Amino acid sequence: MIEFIKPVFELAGYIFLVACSIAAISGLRLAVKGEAVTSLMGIGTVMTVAAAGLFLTQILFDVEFCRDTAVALLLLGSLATIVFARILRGGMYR
Amino acid sequence: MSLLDKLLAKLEWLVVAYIAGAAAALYALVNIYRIDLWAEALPAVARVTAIIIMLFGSVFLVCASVGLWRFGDEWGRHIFYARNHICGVVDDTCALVMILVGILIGRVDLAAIGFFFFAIIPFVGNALANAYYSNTEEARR
Repeated sequence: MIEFIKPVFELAGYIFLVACSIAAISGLRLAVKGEAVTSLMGIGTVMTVAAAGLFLTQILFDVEFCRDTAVALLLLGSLATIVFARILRGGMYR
Repeated sequence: MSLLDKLLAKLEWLVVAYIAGAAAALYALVNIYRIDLWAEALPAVARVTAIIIMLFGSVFLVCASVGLWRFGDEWGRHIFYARNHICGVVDDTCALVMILVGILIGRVDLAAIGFFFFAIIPFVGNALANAYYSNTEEARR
């Protein structure tokens, strides 16, 4: 039963990876064309979809370091976005 | 009312129909085809649900990407907030796919990281909008 569903699951995973790539291209376009805060937002989006794609890669292909990279991207990326947004606002405690 | 609006208006009935269909498929697999419930039938239905969630997530991601491409600078300076919302949709979709697929295929680490990221998304969007407001709107005053 599972062997019958496995190829379909892999196909859905590939489709989700392609959708992640399209979202990453849109985020990169946002990052290179806008001002500082817009670039920060685009980079945050790119990091999110990259992490989701890496997690899916780890599920599909059993590559262990993809999971660790994805965890680091999600945790450090979101926290760094908040910190840099605070800095761009004019200070951490303003 | 477009076709998409009609489909979204019937979304709760689609979810109820899918749950009923999954329950019927489980019943048929266990009682008619004599497949073991915990070893094969339940993981198979969970995998099919994960496939459907990933396909729905792909549709949302592609729609959000098209929105990011469409809303350029010609829409004025307040378009930043629309872009911020679209990026929030992308983040939410990725987090929900990680949570639901992680739970359905039995990967607790994936679901845990998804939960953490899902909790931190509003703070990211708020910090970005606040920074943009401080840089542009307050500077104009």
